[in-house]
Amino acid sequence: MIDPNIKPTLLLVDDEARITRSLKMLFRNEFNVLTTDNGHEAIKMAQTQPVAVVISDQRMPIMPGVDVLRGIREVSPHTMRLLLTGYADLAAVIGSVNEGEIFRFLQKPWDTEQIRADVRAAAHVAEINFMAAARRAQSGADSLTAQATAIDAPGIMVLDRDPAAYELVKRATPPNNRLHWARDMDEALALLSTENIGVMVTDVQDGQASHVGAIKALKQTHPQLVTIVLTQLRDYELLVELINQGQVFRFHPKPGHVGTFVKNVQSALDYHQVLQTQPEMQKRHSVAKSVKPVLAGLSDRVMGYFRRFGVNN
Amino acid sequence: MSSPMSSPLRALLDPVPPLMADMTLTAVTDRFQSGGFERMLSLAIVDEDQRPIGLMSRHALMELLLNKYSRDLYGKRPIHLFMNPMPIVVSLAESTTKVISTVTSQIRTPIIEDFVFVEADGRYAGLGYVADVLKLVEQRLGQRNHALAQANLEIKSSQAHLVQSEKMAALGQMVAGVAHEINTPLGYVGNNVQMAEEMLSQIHTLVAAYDGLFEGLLSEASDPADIEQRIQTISEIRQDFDAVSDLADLNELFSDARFGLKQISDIVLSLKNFSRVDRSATDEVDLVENIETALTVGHHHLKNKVTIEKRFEPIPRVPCSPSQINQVLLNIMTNAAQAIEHDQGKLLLRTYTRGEFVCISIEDNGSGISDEHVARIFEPFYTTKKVGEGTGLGLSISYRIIKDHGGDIRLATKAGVGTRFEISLPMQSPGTSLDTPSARMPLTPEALVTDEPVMARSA
Repeated sequence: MIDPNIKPTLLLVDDEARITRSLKMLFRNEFNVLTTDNGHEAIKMAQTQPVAVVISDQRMPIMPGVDVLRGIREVSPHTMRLLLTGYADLAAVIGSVNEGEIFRFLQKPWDTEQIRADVRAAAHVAEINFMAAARRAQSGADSLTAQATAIDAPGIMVLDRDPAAYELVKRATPPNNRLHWARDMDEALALLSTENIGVMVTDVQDGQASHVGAIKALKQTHPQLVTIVLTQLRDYELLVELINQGQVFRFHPKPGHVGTFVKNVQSALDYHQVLQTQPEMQKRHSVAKSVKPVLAGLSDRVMGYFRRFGVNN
Repeated sequence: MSSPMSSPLRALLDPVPPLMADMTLTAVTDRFQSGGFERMLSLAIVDEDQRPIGLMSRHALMELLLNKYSRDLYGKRPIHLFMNPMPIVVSLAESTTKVISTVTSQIRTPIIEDFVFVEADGRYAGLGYVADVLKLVEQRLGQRNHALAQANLEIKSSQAHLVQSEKMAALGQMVAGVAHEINTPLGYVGNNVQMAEEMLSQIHTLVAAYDGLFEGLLSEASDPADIEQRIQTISEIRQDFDAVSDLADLNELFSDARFGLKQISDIVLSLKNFSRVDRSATDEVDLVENIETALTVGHHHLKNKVTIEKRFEPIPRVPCSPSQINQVLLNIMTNAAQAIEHDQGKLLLRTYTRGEFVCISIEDNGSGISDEHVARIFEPFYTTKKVGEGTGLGLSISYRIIKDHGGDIRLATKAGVGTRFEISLPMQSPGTSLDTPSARMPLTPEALVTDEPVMARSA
């Protein structure tokens, strides 16, 4: 539990002491900063005290960053997780999303203002989450399943022209959830405004058109929408952008393994349910203001659409 | 008859009229002398069905006539008694290649006869000259030579291309690794500089406030309320900025930044050393420097996997191409690190001399190499790595490089214990001594015979 009067805790994990020293100095005025070069120790720290935010390096001798973040997610799910790496390692990016469910993927060398803003945003989300968790614990009556039955089973939407992708999602869709197929962005927007959709499975591009801007914009208009990216694209920069600005929930390679995909869809539905019953969790998905203008026209289109339907304020 | 007409063999055919089997020796002699047959070494003899039954050569005829009275004795006899009944006969229906092989395989020296061409049905067609066939052979050889030379050129250029792409792959991997090595210090150096800047601006504000107070105190006209206001401002600034302890931190920020910059410049320097264009292959090189350079460049492959132990005995400088040796060292070191699948990885690097050779030994406590792999380890494209992880060219290129230096790479390995590679380079450049090391050394890689076993794990 986090007392609003004391500084929130920031945990730094890096095998280079100069990195932790530098970041500690940057954040010590706002945070109670803990540092370690040992992933096991980091997980233990998150277990024994409320840690609002953790920033971990990826390449470390004792335990790689993705494993550290996964471990912390297990012992302290409300701790906001950030990966900080200097190495363009695609496996690490994918792992950090799929296993670590990270808040941000940061790269060395970092921008001081940007990292400040990201860590503050993470701490803000963590504070809300920890307080909500505490409230739930006090009231005790909270039962996820009881609430869940009251909610209609949310639909799943495929945004991909590829029939193979639709088939894959169809095989992974539980019988109670409706499946919708949008061939393009306009169909997707129409479906989102009329149907109860909890999970979107999308490719990042449709022929020449990119869905990246739309994925990012949709996260702002539909914070409860959980996005699975199903793609054969292997672009490091693009994936990082989608994590930081689109808060993508899972990356799944195309064509991909059906078994894992079924699990991914189930986790996405579960997560959507958490977002519905614990609206404060949506904050985890607060997306970073993109530095470069993200397809301004498209964003406006998305926003305009929902204003017309009166969905978004 | 249409297809044989087009046969290139027609070009070799001379349709000389044949001799009949019952022509007399005298008549044949007259025929030879009658003119028009100067090009021919021989004339063919055919039966009534125009099938060739033999060949009468000018040479045999003259031998015969050199005997006294032979013209008187044998002149009236039929020519078939004197002819060579086993001439070389080839069919115009056969392939040029077949004809060439028949003629050249049966030819006898000195060449005293021509050969006989027959049509597909076996009837006499004319004579062919051995010299023409030889010319054809030469022409064909020329063509084949050209094709071979062309193929050789293509193989060479694609080999150069492969070696180049292996180099590029290694370079790409190295660059990615080095980028990581540089990004870490760059991260904290940049952050520290930014914080120092912010701190400096706070110091600036504080000093300006102190200055204002100082001025106020000195001025006779100042109002005590104003002085109090100034003191108030200073104490507010001091609340979130402790000049003394923050300035002490500034020292640390700068000392870390300096360390980071030094680290970056070391990396850049080793990159420069690593890829430096060699002035000449006969540079006298300190191999220990090469080992250190390769270690720096390969740092990111090694640092999380192995602890490195160095046992360097003093070695003389050796003539070699340092950038090539760097490539070999990096290749063997990263291979060694990749072979270690446990978390107690060790890499023992040694230098020593043996006879006329300087040796570098690289020993790991990894998985070892099985016998079947050892036999093929220096073969191009032989790899046990997954597709995309290695081209299988690394060690074959390393082997070539060391061989070209007149040295050798050998290895000793034990499954589950580790592998030791030994690179030896001659102290004298290979051109200077008659007994070149490469001549003394076996050409095929062989196991390193050593009384020192590869190190035991956790030893």
